[in-house]
Amino acid sequence: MERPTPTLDYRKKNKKRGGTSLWQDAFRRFIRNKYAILGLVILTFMVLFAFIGPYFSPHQDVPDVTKANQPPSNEHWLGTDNLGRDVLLRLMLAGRISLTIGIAATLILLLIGVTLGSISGYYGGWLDVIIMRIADIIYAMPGLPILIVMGAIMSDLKIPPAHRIYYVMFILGIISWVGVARLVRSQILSLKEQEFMLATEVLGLKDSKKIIKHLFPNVLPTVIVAGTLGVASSIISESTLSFLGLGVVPPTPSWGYMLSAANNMIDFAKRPWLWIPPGVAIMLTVVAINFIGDALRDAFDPRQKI
Amino acid sequence: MAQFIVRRLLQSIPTLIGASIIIFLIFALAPGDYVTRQFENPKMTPERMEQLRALYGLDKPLPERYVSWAGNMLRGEMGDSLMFKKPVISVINDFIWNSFLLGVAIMFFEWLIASIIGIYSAIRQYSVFDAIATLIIFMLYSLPSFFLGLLLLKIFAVDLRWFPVGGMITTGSNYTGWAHIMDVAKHMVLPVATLTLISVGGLSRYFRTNMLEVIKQDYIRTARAKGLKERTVIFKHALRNALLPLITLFTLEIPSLFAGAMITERIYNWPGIGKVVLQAIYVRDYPLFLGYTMLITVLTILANILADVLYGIADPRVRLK
Repeated sequence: MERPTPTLDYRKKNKKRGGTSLWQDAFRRFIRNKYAILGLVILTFMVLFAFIGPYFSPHQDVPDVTKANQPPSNEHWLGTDNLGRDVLLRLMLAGRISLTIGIAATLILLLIGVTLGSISGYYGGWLDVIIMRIADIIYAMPGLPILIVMGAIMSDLKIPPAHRIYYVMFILGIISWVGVARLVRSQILSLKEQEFMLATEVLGLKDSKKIIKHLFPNVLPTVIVAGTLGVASSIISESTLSFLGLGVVPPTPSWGYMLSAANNMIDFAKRPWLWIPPGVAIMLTVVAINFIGDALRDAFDPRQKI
Repeated sequence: MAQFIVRRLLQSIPTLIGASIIIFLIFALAPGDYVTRQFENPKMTPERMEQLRALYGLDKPLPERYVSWAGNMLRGEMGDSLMFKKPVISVINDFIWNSFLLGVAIMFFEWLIASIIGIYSAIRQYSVFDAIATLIIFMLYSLPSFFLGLLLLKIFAVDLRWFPVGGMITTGSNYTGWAHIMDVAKHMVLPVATLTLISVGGLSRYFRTNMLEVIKQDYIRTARAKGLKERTVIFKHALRNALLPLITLFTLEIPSLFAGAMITERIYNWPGIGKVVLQAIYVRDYPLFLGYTMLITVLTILANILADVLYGIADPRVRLK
């Protein structure tokens, strides 16, 4: 047996100790988290399922009433719906819409939340008072009823079905920015008191440089975690709204709307293949995102062991 | 303390006014009102529609409608529900207690189950129990309430027929006394189970995190070093301190007792305020919706103040200014 040379040993040690930046530490903690890996695997599967899956389907997404309401079979793995369309293919296409809305709504809420939160925390004064007052107002109002009313108003405005997904994204974003804004504001308030910010002051840096180069990287972990968990709750909100027939409406498919088949007593009791698969799809996606978000939160926590 | 409460109450006035304006505008700016919704048909002349609008007070300009509505609100008059043809207050009173019944049962089971799972997961961190509990909790937490509701309804009411499919009492029955209570309880099982399962996840995570935080503290090591029984250490020393932040959570949950659960109540056809308000949205009965939303907004603001006050009482380190 050969004894390891001292140089090799030294290198090994060095390798183990390397990676001192927050991001490298966080990455290391993240990939060691079993739930995070499980979440990544499920989420990757769901994304491939929705975006690549339809190309592998032997069916076309066109109605064929002669094949309506067939139970799962070899030809139609998840059966067909009341218009004779393949449910598995519908599920994939609906996934595209539901995932896109979840992500887009979150980007909108982050844009609003981070901007207002930073302004509020950094500048303080009357801007802070006004923004936080608006946040208080939105926070005090019951979210779900307001969301449903906005969905109902979309129907009154006779917004074309193809445009409704954009409105749904905006509504979800506008309703849910408060949490992120408060989080970012409190982070910036505490960062402002730290010495490195005093140093930027002494160096005479411009406000924009101070915010973008020095404050923002420190707030980013919080924003990433809030954003990840935001995608999960946006997907649930969208599906709830579409389930009530007030979100995404046909012909655009979405998981929530597919679930609304269960509102029909016969479909609900006798044709579970119409509404159970979209429910499972929502659950898998959301659980995967929550695993990832939770793992990210732990990974970015500097108090955690590496 | 009294000064703090008074100041917070005064501060909440602008919040309330802002919320009332937003809620009022959302509904008022939408095209189509109760009249077009309910009476629009080819036989209806525009003149008759205008008459009906005047009858319901929908013909005045917006600011005027807001001021008269807000003034009435302050006097506790929420107007008449267009759908039920009676005062909004009495409609809310008719249905809110059914929601309250569900809410109390859910809160009880939610806190009971969450505390057991959370504390046990924390004591046995990284055990098999902890791993499985985490997995199940995440799955429940990630289910949309309507899907879980439908699933339980399908399995336990439609297929197994263990529980009724919906409502609060068996139709056509005239149970009284004990039989009535049992009948209602049977109808409550599935909605309560649905909402408890959905909410238990988040809360048990809080219990777990707080317990883990406390268990690491020096005073717990001291307690163990003194030779106290593990039971005493966990329940007397650790749990008491872990519960502190949960007071806030508990207080903030109080408004939800009255708010009802729109989706779940609809799925189980439970005659609660949530189901009624959802129906009110569909038929554009906005006096009812406005009354309900303002009530919940007020309760939320009050619960927030109460949470701060209670936390200040429970934790002597916090000084209310």
